[in-house]
Amino acid sequence: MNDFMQFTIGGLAIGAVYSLVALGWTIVIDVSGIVNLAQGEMVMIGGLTTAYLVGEHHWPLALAMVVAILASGVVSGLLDWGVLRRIPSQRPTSLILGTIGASLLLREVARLAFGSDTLYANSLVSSSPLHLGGVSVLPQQVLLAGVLIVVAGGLAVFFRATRMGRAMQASVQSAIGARVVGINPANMRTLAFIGSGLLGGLAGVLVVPLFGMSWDSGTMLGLNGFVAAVFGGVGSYPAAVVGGLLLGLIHGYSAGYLPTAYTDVITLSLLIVLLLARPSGLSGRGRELVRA
Amino acid sequence: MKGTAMPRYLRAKHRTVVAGLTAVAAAAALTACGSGGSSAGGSTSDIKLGVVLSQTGAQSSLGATELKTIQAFVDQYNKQGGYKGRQIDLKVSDDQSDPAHAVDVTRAMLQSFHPAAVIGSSSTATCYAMEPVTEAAKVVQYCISGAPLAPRDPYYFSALGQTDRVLVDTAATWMLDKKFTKVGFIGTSDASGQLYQTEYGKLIQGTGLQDAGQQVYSPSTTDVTAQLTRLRSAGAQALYLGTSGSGVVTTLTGLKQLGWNVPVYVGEGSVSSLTVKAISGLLPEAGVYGPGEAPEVFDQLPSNFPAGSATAAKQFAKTWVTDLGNPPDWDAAAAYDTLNILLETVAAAGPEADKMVSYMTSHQFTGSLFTYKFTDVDHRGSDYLGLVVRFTSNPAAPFKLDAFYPDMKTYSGS
Repeated sequence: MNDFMQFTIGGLAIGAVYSLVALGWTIVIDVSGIVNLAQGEMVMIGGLTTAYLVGEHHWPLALAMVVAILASGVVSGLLDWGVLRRIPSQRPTSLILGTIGASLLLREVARLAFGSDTLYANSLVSSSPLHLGGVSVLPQQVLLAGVLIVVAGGLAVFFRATRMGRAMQASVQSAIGARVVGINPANMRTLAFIGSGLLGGLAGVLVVPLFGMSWDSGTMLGLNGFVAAVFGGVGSYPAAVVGGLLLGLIHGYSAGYLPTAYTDVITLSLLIVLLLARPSGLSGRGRELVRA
Repeated sequence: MKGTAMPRYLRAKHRTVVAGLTAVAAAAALTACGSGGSSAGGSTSDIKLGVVLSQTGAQSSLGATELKTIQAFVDQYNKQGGYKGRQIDLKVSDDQSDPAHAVDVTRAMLQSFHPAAVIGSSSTATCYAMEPVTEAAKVVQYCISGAPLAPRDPYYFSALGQTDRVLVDTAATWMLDKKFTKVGFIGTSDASGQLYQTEYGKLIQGTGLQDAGQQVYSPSTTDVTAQLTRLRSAGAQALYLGTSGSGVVTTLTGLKQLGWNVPVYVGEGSVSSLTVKAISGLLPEAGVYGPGEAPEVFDQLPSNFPAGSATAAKQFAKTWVTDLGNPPDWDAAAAYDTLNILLETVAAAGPEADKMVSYMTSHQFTGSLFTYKFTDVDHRGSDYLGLVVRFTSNPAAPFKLDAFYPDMKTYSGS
């Protein structure tokens, strides 16, 4: 029973990371319909910037984290404003190709700027594990779960109760209608990219004490976040959270009870089955990424 | 082999491509004949060496130190007038710890640079990926990883001594010495991890130790607490870690999360100063151990340690540690020995691969790690001296001598 609980806690802990990354994906997909394949790099920028500022320049951890999150937001915003907006054809395939190029560019820039080693940062909370009834969890993982709850709740409030959030939603539902009432859909999209970058950066600063971060770490974290978003239902915020936690649990249980070399095979096979059986995700609330 | 198979969509154009390649090959042959065919390895004034190492990616903790060492000693030689009067010309490529990329950069290097030999790569997976390329080009490849290979490729050498002696006999002797009765394995699913797992299987079979389980995970996995939980529940008293680079950090992070204080034995690839730096905050109280080499503990060597090896280790340490200010390190010493073996060979036998192989298999090389005695059937050519070190949290003095086994038994059956 203890093992089962440990697999569950471990799965939820890594699932919280995937959920946070998935929320970043979801904002951009929800507001613009663009699959931003550079989203994992925003996580990488957040984590690496924190570790670099603390490790190399001895900044206070909290200040470094704030700067790192902002850096991810700025880079993500610039990606839309400086690159994607300038692409003459605004078709999804062209924009997605633009994000792939940005992803490769950001990886190389990070490698040159931060070096090739995996960097680490200390945690804001204790690094000693908490033992609860035979189950162990790191305080950083508890913090991460708490942040996930706050962020998910905050996004719900933002999109329902703030003028900016409603404006972003309006631009999704009807770009023409939004323009009529003075909302610039292009600016809303850039804001979505900034928000997505901030969330990616937040995920990065929270995972860097757990796993470390290197110039190429963002790819797999981003991919898992995307899988989580698809699991839940693309474009739905609650579904992204559920999808991330579910993905983490699948990882935890398959590593705990099945031959562990097949964890990724199992996860990705489930994703394919899900896409075939329920294209709009487990929640049924998501949009289909590709329509016939 | 990955990276060399012809994609299906190209097969339809096979004849055309073959015809084109034949023409290109003929032109290349004529060009080579016109230049006297002496370009491989450079002119008599230069020794051209290619270097393909993992400077980025998961194995960069190995490759970065290896490259730093090679460049430092090449610079030193060149400033002193060259190696035996000949300048050394290096061309360096990063394989990004990716076997497919290792194939690409090796192929490009051989075509554009024509080195006498290629040093690389840093891990078993990338070494194996490069090997068909260097064999086809008849260029000596010297892998700094253990990466054993049956002697079917006459041009392939690897830096490490007998893999079984390092990964099986030393680990087995140490585990029995510590009175463990049940141990477990956790490692990555790539070629490096598979090698470790094979060696672990030999250890279990040879010692009669109980196996608490063998857990394998993808190199991209960031959380291995589930795998560790299984090993803990199975009663493992020590862990044999079948990974290197960032995989060590992932595993020790999992141990820390679980609060499981268990001794960990790592492979020689992880006994590096950069790994020490990365895991200094993650060391379990029970300790992290690994097969050590004399340069890492050159100032702690016991009095019964072989005198010749101790002298060579101290000579390396004088430049690398004392003069250049680097911490002692296995990868650095292996790279240093690799460089010197190849320089001596090219200087004595010339850049032609068959002559180099003939020279290497008929001479003895005294290195900082081993005395190398390559033979026609064994291109690893060295025995292991039986040191085990314990990691410290001090990057300036990263290793402490834990044990010396001058009379190790053989548990691997080889």
